[in-house]
Amino acid sequence: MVTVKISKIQALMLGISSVTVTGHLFYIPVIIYYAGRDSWISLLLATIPAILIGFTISFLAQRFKGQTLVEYSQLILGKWAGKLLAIIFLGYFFHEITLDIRGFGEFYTSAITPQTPILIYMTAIFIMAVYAVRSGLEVLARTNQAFLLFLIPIGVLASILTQKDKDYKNFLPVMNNGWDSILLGTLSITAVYCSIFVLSMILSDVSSAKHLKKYTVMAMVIQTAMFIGPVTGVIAVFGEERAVGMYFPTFQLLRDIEIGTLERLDVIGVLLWSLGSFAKVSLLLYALAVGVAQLFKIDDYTIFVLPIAALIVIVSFLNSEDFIGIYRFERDIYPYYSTLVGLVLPLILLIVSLFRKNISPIKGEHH
Amino acid sequence: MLRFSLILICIMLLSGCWDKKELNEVAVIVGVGIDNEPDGAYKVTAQVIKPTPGGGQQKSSGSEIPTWSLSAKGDTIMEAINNLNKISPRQLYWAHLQIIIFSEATAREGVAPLLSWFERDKDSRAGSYVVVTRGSAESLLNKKVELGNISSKSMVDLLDRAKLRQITASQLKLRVLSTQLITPGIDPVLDVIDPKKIRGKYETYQLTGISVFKDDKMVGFIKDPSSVGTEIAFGQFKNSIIKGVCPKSKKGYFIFQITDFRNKVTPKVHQGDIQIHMNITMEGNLSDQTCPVDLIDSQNLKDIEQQLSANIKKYVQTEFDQAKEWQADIFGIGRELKRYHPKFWDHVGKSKDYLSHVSFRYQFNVNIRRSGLIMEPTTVRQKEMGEK
Repeated sequence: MVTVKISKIQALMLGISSVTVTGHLFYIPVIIYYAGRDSWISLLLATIPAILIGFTISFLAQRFKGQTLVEYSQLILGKWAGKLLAIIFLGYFFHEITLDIRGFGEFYTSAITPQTPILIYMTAIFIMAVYAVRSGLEVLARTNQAFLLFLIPIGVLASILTQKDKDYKNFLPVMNNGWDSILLGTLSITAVYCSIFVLSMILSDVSSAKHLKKYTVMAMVIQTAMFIGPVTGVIAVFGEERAVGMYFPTFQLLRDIEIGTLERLDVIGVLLWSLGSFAKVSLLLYALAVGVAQLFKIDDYTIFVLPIAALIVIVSFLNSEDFIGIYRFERDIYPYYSTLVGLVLPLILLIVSLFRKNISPIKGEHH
Repeated sequence: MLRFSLILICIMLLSGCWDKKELNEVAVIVGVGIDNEPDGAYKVTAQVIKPTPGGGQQKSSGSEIPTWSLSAKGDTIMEAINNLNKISPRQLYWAHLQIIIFSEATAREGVAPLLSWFERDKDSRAGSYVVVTRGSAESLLNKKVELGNISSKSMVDLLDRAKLRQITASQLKLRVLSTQLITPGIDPVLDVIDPKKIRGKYETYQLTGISVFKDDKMVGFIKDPSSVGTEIAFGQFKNSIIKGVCPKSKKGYFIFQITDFRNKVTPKVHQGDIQIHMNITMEGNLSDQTCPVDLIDSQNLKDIEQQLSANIKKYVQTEFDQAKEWQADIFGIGRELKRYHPKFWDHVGKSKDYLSHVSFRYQFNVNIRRSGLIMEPTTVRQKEMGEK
């Protein structure tokens, strides 16, 4: 396998664009469902787990330089337990991508083109993603870098354009529903952040791991900042009661922009979420293919890309019959499940690696 | 080979999608009216812009109306629209919908069941105005108006430019309506548009005050000028005018034209009594007067300020009392209570009885900035010359 190196910032940019964009599209309703008008408090509190996630990823990446999650989990826990954990992580990535691709397709079919079969969008994005992933990590990183330069100004613009409809009195009364709902909101935001753990599959290819912790934690803080606009904007415009019942509140926010003759800017949202979904799908697909290749000790990961992509499309339909089912899963199960796999397990991995001082680089012991 | 097949797939996918709509295959709907039928069904009337034949560069011949409206019945809005599609020569296209009109009878029955489709449909716009009309919505849409070919467009223009025309309109849009319906402690207020007879013939439209809703059911109309209370309460009274009686002479009137209006509403609760404090800052010009008095005189200015504040108090109180009679919380007092006194709201929010404990406290800050292009009215000068 040709070793391609990407820079730290490129890697983190991949993480940011994949988490924020799908988060904005699908998870804002979940966050609002739990925390209501206090979502912004949840978001502020979520910086703590966000920093923890960033720290865990970068710490593991620095401690096991040049090794991916699949490799170092075997080093830390031994061959079999490590492999089991790696399979759990890969399963998590796989499930994550099926949810995202389904959401992406459902977004198109319910909001833009109801006649077009959902499979078309899934196929289209996978053709691109497979092509990008087969071309290597560097291609992914650079494409995403180019996208993100457009995505962030568009997001800021969307936030500014909706300013006139916002009524910040909608956040009153503050904390009327108690800490429970706020903490559940924090949990659901954390769950969204957790999928950035996929970075541990690509941080091994970063050219220099110096100051990686600082950079990653910064990226997580930036990511939290990028959630402020959508979370507060939706509540400020629609009010808590209305915002709870929407599938794509951020999209509806954009759709209703009316500034003079500037109307129906939903195409901005479509652009934003299509590019973001592409970033996430391709990143996760890359991680999966590389992970599977490393699990079976096969040098060339590219042979796995297409079969995995096909499998993802199929499983994305098996997830749930209807979109409401997906939403319910994301609301009721996802916060706990994703936090468990994306934050708790890596933390355990981190702690175990701290206790096991002399980890042999080639083969670990079964314990 | 891979590259070739990729290109082939891309070409196949890029050639178009299932949902394409060609402009010459759709009927663009600008306004929709909803009436109810005696048998409980709804009648939906859609106003469509007629495509101009032959490229569209022709001058309109005058007698021909450039719109066409078609009606169909159904038990739900979607069914009626489906029936519309059965009779329409072109596919109906909702993305340019600008106004939704409810007839009085429909509004009295409740509008919430009618909004579902408009909110769910991907094409319809949450920025459409929602208005109520006395009589039927169908006939309102089919009235021919002077100075404006498309009747929905003229109505939208009436609402859109209300500020420029210095008239007050609540300008409620679908998004705000659905938010207000779902938010406890506030009842919506919709504009009322009626056809207006000029010289015995219906030729134009008229904004005739507001219709008050309790939850989603209309309960009554409030006519101008006491219908401005909601605008005052929500601080949207800018660019309107207030009439007052001239100080001293007590005969003529003056007109105060508001150029800036802000209202900071704070609810206070005192032993079960709800006090709504309105801190009103108002700036404006004296634009007209019929009395021969120098209104800019400092003593007179004080009188004028008093009159203005008295009028505002009167508008707010009259409208509130009327709505209270109907058990409608049109100023969103409940919403404010929920925001600032959530515990108290939990206690009283079950019914609308809290409205009878509401009283208003005002604090005015009136600034009269200008008096147009002249300092004193012409009448004063003439009188002084005569005395000499």
